[in-house]
Amino acid sequence: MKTGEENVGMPTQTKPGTVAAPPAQPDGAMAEYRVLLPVDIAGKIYQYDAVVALDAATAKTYAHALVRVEDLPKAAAKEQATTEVK
Amino acid sequence: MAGTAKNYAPLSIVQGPGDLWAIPIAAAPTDTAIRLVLASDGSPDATTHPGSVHLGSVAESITTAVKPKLSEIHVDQFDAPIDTYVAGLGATIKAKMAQTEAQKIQRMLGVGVYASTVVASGDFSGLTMETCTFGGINTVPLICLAVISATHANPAQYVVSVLYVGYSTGAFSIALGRAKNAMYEASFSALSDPTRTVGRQIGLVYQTLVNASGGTPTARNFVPGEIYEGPCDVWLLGTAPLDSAAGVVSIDPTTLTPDSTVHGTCTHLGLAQGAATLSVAAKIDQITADQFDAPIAVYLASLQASIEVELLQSSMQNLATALGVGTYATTANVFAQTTFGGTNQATAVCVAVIGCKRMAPTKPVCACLYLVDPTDGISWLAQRSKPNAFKVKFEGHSDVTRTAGRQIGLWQEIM
Repeated sequence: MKTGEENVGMPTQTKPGTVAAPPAQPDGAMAEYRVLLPVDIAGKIYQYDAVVALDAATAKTYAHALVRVEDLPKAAAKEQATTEVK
Repeated sequence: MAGTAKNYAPLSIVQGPGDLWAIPIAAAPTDTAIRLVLASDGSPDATTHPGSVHLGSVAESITTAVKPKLSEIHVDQFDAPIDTYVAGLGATIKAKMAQTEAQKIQRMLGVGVYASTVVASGDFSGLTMETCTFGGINTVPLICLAVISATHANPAQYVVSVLYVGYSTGAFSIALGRAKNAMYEASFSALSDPTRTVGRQIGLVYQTLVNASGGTPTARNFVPGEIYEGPCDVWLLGTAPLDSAAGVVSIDPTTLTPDSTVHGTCTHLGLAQGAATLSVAAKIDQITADQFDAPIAVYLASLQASIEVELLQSSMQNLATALGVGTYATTANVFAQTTFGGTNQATAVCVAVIGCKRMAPTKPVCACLYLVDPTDGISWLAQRSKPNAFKVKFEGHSDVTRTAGRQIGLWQEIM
């Protein structure tokens, strides 16, 4: 059983900005987004936790319901990818 | 003898408004870095917590509540329990939200489907239409919730509550009328995250003791134009919106009434006393396991949708509509009547509420339930002191012929 708290691996309140933001998505390029809320994009419904490839403009329209996979903390993204394969 | 110091600490008194944030589970505080990283303005740091969304203006307050359910251990020899054990632990965040807009009501409902399209033709051509449809989505989206409030003593320090894995339980109930802003309750409950360390599997409340600085702020979402207030009209649509048209109601831009070329002969239910209320409520089943003090998963049990309004015009046709099992008949200049008794199958209809935006009155908002029954019956009040008004409530069915995700109804608005 894990006990205690080790505030490691991520920046803390006293060390802001220690994680560099991933590069912005270039216009026209596709990137993978994880669906946080069901969305209907061009007539197709994507449900919670699906991963969809979108261009930047479309992703911006649905920004409240999506998160770019590349932006996620690496450990969490890897964990989710593993879950998805299962 | 030695006294003991008292603990008078006015700075520990919490007062002040807060902001409600939705944070993707994958970007939530981790089991090792259990607190949020805040940017200098007190918002979640956009780099550490990407995809965080500010849920807009709050009408009154945001309440985080954590409550254990204790199981008492009794023995016969004593008149009070001799010990207790935690049978369960509930954690919720509740708030009354002010901005009525498709993205936000989707978050409150959870199982709604959001779409944004550019209108291709007509007077709304080129404008964006946002919709939140509902009916047929069973998977309940999970999200991390955080309430962040500046301390009253130091606006750069914060009191924060976090539910690591939450889900929406409040759905929404929006009253579209003249007298009051259309506020609605938001309610989120927490799950236990079995992957986290015992003692902090559900959430935390904490106060920062150093001024927030640096980081990348996440934008807040204050849009006064999204606060709805104003009258609306209730319609029975001759032809319901087609599933092939994404279930959207076609509205005449000049009159903000149903487009009769699309919806056929529509019936306007006339003058209303007070607001028309759209309610969409998801009943969520919690999946529990004995090893954990809070649910570990959830599933949609049912979705109830209704439109309710109090009508002033007691025409025989309106009464028949409100009764559902009444039969309307008329002979011009002779009589109009509603008969009842012996009709076993209620007549399902499509109902729509159409209003306009408070700060953009040429732009309609519309709520529609594709297939409804009136369920409240009718009453007739003969009285000197006030006019007869009767409440009519339309409760939504699932239309099994429609696409999952939009089988019951929608909220739509021109942006």
